[in-house]
Amino acid sequence: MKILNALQARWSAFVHRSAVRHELEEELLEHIQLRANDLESRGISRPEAERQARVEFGGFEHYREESHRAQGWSWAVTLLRDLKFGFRVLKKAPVFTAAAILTLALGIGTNTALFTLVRGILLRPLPVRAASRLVVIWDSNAAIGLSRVGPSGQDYLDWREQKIQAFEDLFLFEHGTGTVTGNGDPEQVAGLRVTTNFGDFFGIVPVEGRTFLLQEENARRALVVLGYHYWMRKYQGDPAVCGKSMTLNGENYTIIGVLPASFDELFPVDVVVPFDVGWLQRAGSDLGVFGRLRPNVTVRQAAAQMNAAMARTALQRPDRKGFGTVLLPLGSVRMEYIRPALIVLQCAVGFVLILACANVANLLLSHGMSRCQEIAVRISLGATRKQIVRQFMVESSLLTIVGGSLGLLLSLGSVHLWGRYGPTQIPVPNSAYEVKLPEVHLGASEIVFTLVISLAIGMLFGLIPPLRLFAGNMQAALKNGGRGTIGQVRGKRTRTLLIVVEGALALVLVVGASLMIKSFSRLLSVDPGFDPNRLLTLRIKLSEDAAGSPYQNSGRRGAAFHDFLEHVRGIPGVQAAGLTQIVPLSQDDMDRGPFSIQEKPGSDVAPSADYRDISAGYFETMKIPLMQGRSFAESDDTNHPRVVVIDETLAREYFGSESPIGKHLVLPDGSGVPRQVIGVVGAVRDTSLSGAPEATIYFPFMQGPDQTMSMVVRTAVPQNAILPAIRSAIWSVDRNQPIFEVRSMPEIVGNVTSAPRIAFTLLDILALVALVLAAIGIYGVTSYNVGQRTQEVGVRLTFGATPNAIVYMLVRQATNITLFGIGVGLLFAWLMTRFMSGLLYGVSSTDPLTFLTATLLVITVSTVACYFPARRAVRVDPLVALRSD
Amino acid sequence: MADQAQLLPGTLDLLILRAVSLGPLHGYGILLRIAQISGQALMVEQGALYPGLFRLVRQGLLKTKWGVSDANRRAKFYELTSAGRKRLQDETESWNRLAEAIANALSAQPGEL
Repeated sequence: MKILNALQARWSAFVHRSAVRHELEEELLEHIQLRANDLESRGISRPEAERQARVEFGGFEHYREESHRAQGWSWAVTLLRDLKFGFRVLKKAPVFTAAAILTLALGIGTNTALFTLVRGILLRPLPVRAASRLVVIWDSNAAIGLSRVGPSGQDYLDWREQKIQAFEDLFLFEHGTGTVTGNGDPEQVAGLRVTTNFGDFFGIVPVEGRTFLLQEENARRALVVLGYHYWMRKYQGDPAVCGKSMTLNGENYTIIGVLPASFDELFPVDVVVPFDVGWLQRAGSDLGVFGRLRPNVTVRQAAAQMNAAMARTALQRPDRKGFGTVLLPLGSVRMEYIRPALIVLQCAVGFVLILACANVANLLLSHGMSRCQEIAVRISLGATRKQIVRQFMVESSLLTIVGGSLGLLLSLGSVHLWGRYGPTQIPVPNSAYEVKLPEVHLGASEIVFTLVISLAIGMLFGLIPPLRLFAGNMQAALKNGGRGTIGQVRGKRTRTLLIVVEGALALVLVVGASLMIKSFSRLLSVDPGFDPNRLLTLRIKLSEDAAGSPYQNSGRRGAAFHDFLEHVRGIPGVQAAGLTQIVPLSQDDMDRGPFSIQEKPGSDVAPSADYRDISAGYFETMKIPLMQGRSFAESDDTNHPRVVVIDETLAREYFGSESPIGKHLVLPDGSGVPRQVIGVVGAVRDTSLSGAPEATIYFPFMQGPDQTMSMVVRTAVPQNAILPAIRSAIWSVDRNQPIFEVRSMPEIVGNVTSAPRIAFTLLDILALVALVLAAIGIYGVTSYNVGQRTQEVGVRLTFGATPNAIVYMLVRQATNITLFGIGVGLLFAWLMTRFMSGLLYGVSSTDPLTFLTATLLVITVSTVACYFPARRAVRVDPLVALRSD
Repeated sequence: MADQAQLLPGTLDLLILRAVSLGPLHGYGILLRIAQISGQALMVEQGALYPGLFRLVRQGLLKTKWGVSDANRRAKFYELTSAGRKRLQDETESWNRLAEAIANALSAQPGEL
């Protein structure tokens, strides 16, 4: 209680500083007035009474100051004095101050920027219930090379029925698109079809209305929940939207609720509709399943139970034989692609901060040593050690706070640049899904974090110089005027350690950056198997679901796509156009299955390949080279024999040196008709640039037209100029046909190279910063050391040593330390770089050539940094050097 | 003023606490009260009262509130906190012990040794 009172008194004094001064004065004056009144009442004249009251009171100024101090202000007065003195000291050494502040700004700024990114992207939990317990569940089948496939509706029903212990609940969803009509222009909206436990599963609190009820799975009612932004855009946030109806895919849906805006972070959707039981039983693979683990159940335990469940399922459904499941936490899956890059960068900026700190420690040490005499004088005049230490700490905190604030500006700029040029979407491997990266802001917590860190660094570093000073002999310092004599260079061990650390860290960063440069240039020079330039892709989904849609007939579907293609090909500026089910590198759904070769029965390996439906003209549009045979013609439709084109990977793996042309492939699913191989095309990298191309079978889409296809268009003019023409060409066939996911191929390629590109760009910048910092550090220390030896150099010169010999000696001695640091760095780099192997393509994380060139670079830079101070030392006149202080 | 005793160091705080223990007072009132209860024998230098008062406030022994003085003017009143009351008690006891010991020492006669 006492402490609390005292604190409160002090605090209110702090808050009302000027008010307090005012009140204090008022109180003292009031006292004098009262005394004067008393005196006056004893018959003394008023002026005389006031004079006497003042005299009795004593020194007014003195007591006012003392009272003020008694209120707890002495520390503030001292601090202010220390600050003023600190400013003066720093102003007197502008080069030192600027160097320290800039170094700190770089070190702290890069750290704050990356911390902001990591916090915003990796550490922020999704805004849904129990986000940390959500896992994604895939089917997998190692035997046919399926690592992660979306489960089917039947899988989900089986699992739900088995009531697997590890999960509180299982949730099934399917991404899709729907056509909204009857409310302005026809529009393709992003949709999500979900099981009716949707609202409860994510703990959704709807902005308006409600989400689905569990029993609505059996209700077969057409209900829809709107996404927040769609609601704002189409209904202007009208709260009376619930109960209204909307036309989706030609059917009437009743709007029952609106999702909160935050849900966009998980699924940016316009409409959400429920699965009913019929849909669930029919729904094929490639759906998404999330599970919410019970508290304290690990992913590993859940995975074991899932695999057991899958084995039980396979007893009843032979098509699931050989399948297992893969479980991963939702949070890690979403950021799987970018996490390694961010972590490597986080390490890198950490190193840069250590480097910056080493430099600043070094600067403070040198600066402190040069004030040896000043300190000695102050101590002999009665300053206590506490006062000296406080003075140093205030000075260095001043430096770090200013540096930190500058660093904040730097990170503000960097975060802004990230928002502008950084990726906005990242692929989620094998999920037909891209995550929209959350916007990253530099918030209050980052600012506080930065300032606290700066202050902590400042206080810590402020301790170094006085501790080193006190370790020395103060009297000697007074006597020799602060001049270091040989063999008595204070702080030498600390300096040597700093140089070793700087050399080591710089090497680690340069090695990392060199590996990234090599890897990224290899990645960019990877031939994806097609030419991405001036290639535009867009997606078209026929409204097959709508009742009475003409597209329920597969012939009509084929004809429509055929017409779209013909009209687009007729546009001036379009060089070629084709259709494909899956755009390479776009993270579209994986479609993969087994096949057998009719001419080679009973081969023991179960071959499997990626399936692709494409149109005639696709290979030509993509510039995928035809190696053998022919490509598809317009005539390869249902009226003609079934044919396929295979890629060279499949040809090489399963036909070897034989020609595959004229052989037949049989798919176990479907009709089992043999399909004749008519051609072989070049391999295409479908999922990532770094992975090897998979064996692929191309089917002519006219022999089984699907509902959704992507059109690829090679243009002679920029895409924005031609897009309206493409739209109207398609609308001239069907005015109600929406077109969506319009993207250029370079954009798609950019998406799959974003993580290595970020790592490459930023790591290079950081390595450069590190190298510069290390060079400055080595330069500074060498200058200082050489400066201490000016007399020695003078003596050597007088006795006839050649300047070159002395330079050689000085540089060699300085370089020896750096070399040791580089040796440590090599070991460190060798241990560290393996953590970035996930980011590397075509280069080993311990690539000897890279290590060698990086080492040579650091040695060169550090030698140059030693050379200049040494060179300067021998240029002095020997006589001046001998007399020097 | 020649018959007024000089204050021993440290006794000002005790006197302030005692003065205030008899009821809330403003600064000048404390001064008058000390003079009154000491039979005009102890005189404090008036200005020196205030640093002492603020020190006691900071130590949590006194608390303040603004009120109206007899002269109908705004004035700051001091009163004891419970910590202050306890301190006053402790200090009074130890002061009495000390005074008694000193008095005994000074009145000791050679024969009593």
